[in-house]
Amino acid sequence: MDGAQDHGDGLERWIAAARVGDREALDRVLRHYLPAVRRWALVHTGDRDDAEDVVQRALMAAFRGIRKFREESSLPTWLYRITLNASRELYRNRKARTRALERYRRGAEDEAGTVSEEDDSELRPLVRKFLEELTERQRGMMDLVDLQGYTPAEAAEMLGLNPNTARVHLLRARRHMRASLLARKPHVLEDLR
Amino acid sequence: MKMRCSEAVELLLEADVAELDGTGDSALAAHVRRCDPCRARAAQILSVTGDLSDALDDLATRIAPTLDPADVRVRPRVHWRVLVPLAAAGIGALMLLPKGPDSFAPVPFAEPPAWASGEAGRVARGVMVQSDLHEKIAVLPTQNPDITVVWFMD
Repeated sequence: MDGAQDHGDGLERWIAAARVGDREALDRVLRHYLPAVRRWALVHTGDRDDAEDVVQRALMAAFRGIRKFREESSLPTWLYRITLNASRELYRNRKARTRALERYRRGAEDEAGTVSEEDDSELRPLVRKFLEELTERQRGMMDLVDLQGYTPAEAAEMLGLNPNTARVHLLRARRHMRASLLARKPHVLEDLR
Repeated sequence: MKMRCSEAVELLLEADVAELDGTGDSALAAHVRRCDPCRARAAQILSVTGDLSDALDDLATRIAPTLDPADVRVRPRVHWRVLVPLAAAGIGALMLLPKGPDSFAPVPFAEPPAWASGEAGRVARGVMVQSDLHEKIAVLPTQNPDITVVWFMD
């Protein structure tokens, strides 16, 4: 997954060209960040179909708004905000969110995973727990910091949160996920008893 | 004073990834470096965290696999393409209205400008008449013989 630190000189040049209307440059830049946008959309929607919708909305917004990008933040931060807004727009209607989670529970994710039978019992509940039980901000912080390698400060900026508040969301997410994980692995705790 | 494992496990729940790896000067990192069971617990958390990231990546790659930024285009707003030529044709028609209030003679429309092509150009070839109520009425045939646009103007 691409972090903000992955900007090379080439990419910086493409970004500069995209900002002044170079369509090919914009295509290249968005293609570079497309995997990240997909991942962010998935994390914020928890549903593959809705994530696809969010990706489309986010790319459209990026095409329309690239000239307004002023480098007050990094491009990944700008794109993340666009993706986040697209996701929130989609879920402004709370019923849509409920429907999405229901689809996920019914097993719409089955075809999405290539996890083996052996991994299935381990990973699928974990993915479900991550997508369903954490709040949007908890998911965002944990995904950006622990899973994608952004610094907590970068993640807080991407999510538009106060750094201290963001830290609280991150710690709560970690505790929720890790406590569940350790509880599922009694052998790693048995010598404490 | 050495950290006890029960304390370490509590801290493992919120620790940064580097501490789980035993990196750094924190008491937890030092404990992880020297305590085999806690190192195993930390390794377990790190391993599954990595698996979670891979699983999310895998799910994400399955989102709209054919989607390409090049396919996403900002569509021109259709109403401008249609309304601007129509409005221009309407203004042109108004300028050609007969001056006399009793005139019933059909007034031929001017040819639409070259840029008013498509539907607008076809619609612009109509006639203007005046009714008994002194209303000016534009009758605009279209290419569809079933559709004629009648435009009432004060």
